[in-house]
Amino acid sequence: MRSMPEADPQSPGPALPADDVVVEALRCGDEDMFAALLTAWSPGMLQVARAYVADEHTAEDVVQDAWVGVLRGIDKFEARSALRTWVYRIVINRAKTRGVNDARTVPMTSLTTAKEDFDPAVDPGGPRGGSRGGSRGADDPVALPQTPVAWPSPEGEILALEVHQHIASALDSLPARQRVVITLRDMQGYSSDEVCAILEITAANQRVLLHRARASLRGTLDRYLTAQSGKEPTR
Amino acid sequence: MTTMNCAEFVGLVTAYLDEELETGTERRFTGHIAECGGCDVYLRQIRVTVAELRRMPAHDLTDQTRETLLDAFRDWSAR
Repeated sequence: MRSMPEADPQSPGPALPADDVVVEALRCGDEDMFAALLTAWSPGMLQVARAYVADEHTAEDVVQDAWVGVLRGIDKFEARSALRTWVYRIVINRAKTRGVNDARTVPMTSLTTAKEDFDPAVDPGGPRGGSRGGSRGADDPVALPQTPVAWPSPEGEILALEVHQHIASALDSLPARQRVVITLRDMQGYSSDEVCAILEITAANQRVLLHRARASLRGTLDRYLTAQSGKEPTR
Repeated sequence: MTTMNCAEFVGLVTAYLDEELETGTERRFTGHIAECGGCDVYLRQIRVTVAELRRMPAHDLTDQTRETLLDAFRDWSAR
């Protein structure tokens, strides 16, 4: 059995005291503590909110709203989960509500919870173009690419910036749950246990969502980088 | 020990990176890397993808939002 996702020693960002210390400080009106939380968690909260809403501005509204919700709820916080887990659940709830209200700007597929679990197109348009269009079984979570061609190093100068632009637009096209998972795991570096707790999903489900999201982004980078190197995919 | 094919390999990449594979499966997984150049490249590319995600620039709250929230905190703690 795994341990509770309490204070995660490997989590990035500035070190914060243990949850009970933080909560007590907030309840006592310690503004410095609140400011430290804003600094530590807001960037990740903004990225997570973006999985459900259409632009950065709306994400900022959602995060502001969520922090106000944290203040309203902190007196009743009972530490049944880690504080950060509880805060992220608030963000996600607010972002979902906002995303549904703004649904005209967000593809409906991003708002459903189950569709991506059955979506066979993991690596859409990858080098194995021939298998596009759902010829794989719905229970096959992965597109097997044609023999992958090595990429040029994306660390080179301008390339890195362009890689980030391609990643940003690829993230925009992911289903919301895949995007939340890859954001928390790979961009924020949170543990799988904490991500499961935040989203209230099983470890197996978390892994499938992460797997699909990574495969999808790899496909995006592959199309860009193999074209960059002058080696077009063979079909 | 049965060998692993490429489809199975690709399906297990995420579990491998999370160190969630059972010992026997992990041995077959790493054995496949040694034998298959394409899957070796694939695994490297997944690692690069993850590393690039980690390097994505993060946004912070605007100064205005931050001030609004600090004001809200003062109002709340004076309740």
